[in-house]
Amino acid sequence: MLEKIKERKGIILVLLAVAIICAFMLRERYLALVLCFICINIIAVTGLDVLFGYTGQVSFGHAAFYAIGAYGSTLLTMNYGIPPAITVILGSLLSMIFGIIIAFPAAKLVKHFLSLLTIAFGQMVFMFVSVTDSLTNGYSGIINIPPISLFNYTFKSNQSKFFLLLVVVILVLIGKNRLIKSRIGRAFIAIRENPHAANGMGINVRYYKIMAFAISAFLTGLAGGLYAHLVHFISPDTFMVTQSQLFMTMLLFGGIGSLSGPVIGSSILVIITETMQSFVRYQMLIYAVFILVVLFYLPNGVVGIMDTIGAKVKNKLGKRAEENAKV
Amino acid sequence: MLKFEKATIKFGGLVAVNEVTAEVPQGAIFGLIGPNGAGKTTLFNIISGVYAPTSGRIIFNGKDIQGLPPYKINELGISRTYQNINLFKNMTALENVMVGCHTRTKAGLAASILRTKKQKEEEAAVEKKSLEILNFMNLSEKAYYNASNLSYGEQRRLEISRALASDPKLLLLDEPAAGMNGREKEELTEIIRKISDKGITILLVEHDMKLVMCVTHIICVLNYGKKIAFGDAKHIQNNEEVIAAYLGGGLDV
Amino acid sequence: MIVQLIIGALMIGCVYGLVGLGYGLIYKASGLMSLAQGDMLMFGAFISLTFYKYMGLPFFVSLFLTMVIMFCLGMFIQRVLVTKLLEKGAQTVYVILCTISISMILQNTAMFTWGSNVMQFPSLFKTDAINILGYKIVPENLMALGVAVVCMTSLHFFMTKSKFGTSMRAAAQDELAASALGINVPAAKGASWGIASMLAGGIGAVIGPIFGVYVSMGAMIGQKGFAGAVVGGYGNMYGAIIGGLFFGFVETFISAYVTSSYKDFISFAVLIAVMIFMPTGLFKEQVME
Repeated sequence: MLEKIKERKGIILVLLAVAIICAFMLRERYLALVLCFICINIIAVTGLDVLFGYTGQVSFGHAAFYAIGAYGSTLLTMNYGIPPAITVILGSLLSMIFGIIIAFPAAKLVKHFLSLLTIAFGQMVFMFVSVTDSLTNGYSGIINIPPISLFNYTFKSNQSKFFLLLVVVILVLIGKNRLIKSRIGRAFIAIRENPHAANGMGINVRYYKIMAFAISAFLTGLAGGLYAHLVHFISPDTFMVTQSQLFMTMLLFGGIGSLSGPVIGSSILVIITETMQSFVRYQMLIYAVFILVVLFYLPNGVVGIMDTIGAKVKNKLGKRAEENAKV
Repeated sequence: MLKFEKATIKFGGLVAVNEVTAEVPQGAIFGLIGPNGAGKTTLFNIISGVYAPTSGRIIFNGKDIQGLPPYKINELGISRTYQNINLFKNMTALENVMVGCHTRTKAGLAASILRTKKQKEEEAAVEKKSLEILNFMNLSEKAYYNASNLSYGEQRRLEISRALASDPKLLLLDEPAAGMNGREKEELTEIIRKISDKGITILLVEHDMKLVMCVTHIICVLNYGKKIAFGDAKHIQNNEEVIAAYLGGGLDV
Repeated sequence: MIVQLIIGALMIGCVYGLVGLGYGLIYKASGLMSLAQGDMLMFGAFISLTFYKYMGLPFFVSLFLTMVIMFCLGMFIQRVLVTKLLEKGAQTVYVILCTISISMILQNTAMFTWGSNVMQFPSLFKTDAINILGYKIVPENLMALGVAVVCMTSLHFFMTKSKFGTSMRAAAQDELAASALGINVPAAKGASWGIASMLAGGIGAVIGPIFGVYVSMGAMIGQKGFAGAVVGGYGNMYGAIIGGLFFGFVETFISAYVTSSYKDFISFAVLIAVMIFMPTGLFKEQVME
């Protein structure tokens, strides 16, 4: 056990530092809310990572699942009185069903067309919630969405919400880690690397592609539902194509196909968005520049850079050890 | 074990494989040779499910397999390597082989996420089996290296390792010696014999005549999609049609 | 009424067609997708507005200058950004993302330069409506239609009859062979992106008087143009025009006779349906894995 701790001391130090920062942020209502946003985006972007980072299926319309989860949970709880803790899950399941439906045609299409299909789907969901006033109240949005309650405790303060979201994030990350390290995770990566060979090695590519869509839609839908009960108000504005692009940016910036990529990407971009509140006009420009920086200089994201630095450090340490051994 | 009955495939006007009928006996090392463009890899692709034949049947252990998708054919016990190396570049050698075990394992989504006891046992077994295969193929040292970092010969051996992971009854090797030097080819001959000794039937497409004559039990020769000769090495070497097809190139052993 | 509807449908159909044509050109020439065509249209509209309203230049001069500028912009993007990105070994998805960020930059730049309000493009003609065969028709609609038709036919002749156009088609079909024949392939690729932007910008300038000029005017049009290109067979220029007209008509008539708030929803639904059931489009272009 002590050995395991020694091995991972780098990660443990990072976690401690993060915990201290969080503790500071939690003292203030607004900063606690920012932490909550970070958690929600981590969940949503993890969903996108399962789809794009692991099976290589691009989605420029993921805000659609975010919307379905959010509106699904909201409408179920406000129209039928079902407790939010349950509707969040139901909303995620609804999102997952749509994910499976879209996956059928999507699994057959090449990169360009998949992009277009996902954009079109994203737009359709956005338009539907904007225009169907009778159901979703259209552009005005829905207010007074109740907070989540569990076992008679209601998560009303930003601090308590953060802890709830933190638990969900940890569960999601653990689940994702287990998924990656299983035969299904290997099948996903095989599909991303070489779908033809994957098929030849006995992997039913279509089936797993659809599964990836389902999991991805579930997670991003979950994030949507949690979002609705976090800020108690949703409107179509949140689910425009810019949101889909933002998810993609977070994922690429953090690094695809890794556990910490979505975490880093979401954290940094949410913080930048919040600090930029005074520069709202420049928001799109800054995101655009971010995307270009990632594309040209950080193709593997922050995680990629860390890996490269890590490898260089290991190399140097290895060389130094060799030289010491010679002496 | 494997029979083709008048297997034919047409691409538009071109008949790539023309009514080829042959039988691969169990346990044999069967060679498929012919000049470039004779239809050898195309026939391979038909057997492994990449293409469905326009007409004719492919029968594996009594079951019709023509037109089945590649993953189903792998499940039934046929595994293959590719002419151009088709490894999973960003995975380690060990992980590549573990992917090969896919059809022989069962853990589903729930079991994987919940890490049930059965799933953990299955994972440990998969890892053990994959390491054994790598050992069998003399790749143990490179188990944790990224597939893209292996030498060319090692990558070819890794492809074979990956194909072995699904416990195939029939192994299709598509030009396994391409790009290899003399010593590597000798090692390859050893490997092919080792695999055959384990009871696995091997179907081999190769251009290197020396290797083919040396290692195979039976040979089938294709030219322009048609079968022009069938028999053991000696018979093929003396067959006039075969010699004519190759126009005097590459048949001196 | 129906005549006006038809003219309107033709007009917007041609707009979608020209935008979609640009997508097809880019795809055929470089195998890539650009999602920025709609914003090229918007940018062109703003530039021509500046020339016409603020610098007082005659309309066709403004249009010509706009098209030249847009051509250079498109070429610049391909030669500088896209080529560099491809050299770094980026996959097609990343190039698509690059064009998305270009689209965002265009929108933001437009917002800073010209503000986020809808700007009025002064009328080109002295009359509000002219009388043709007893029907009242808005002349700007006819002008837009006319310019679109001129652009399409010029492009057709350019691609089939001119030397450079033919070399562009050759480069699109087989780069290696084309360069072996002495064709300047990079210039051909750059030109195709340039032409795509030029067409989008040009038609943007022409519809300015009809719809007004504002930052988000290109987004929807870009997507519908894309949809038209897919329906016609992605990459096929004539298909893009037919696809564009198809959506123009579907949209206009559904809007008039069924429901106007769901018109975009229905257009996208049609697009998704086409992608599912007939992804090769009308002219049967290569699409699947």
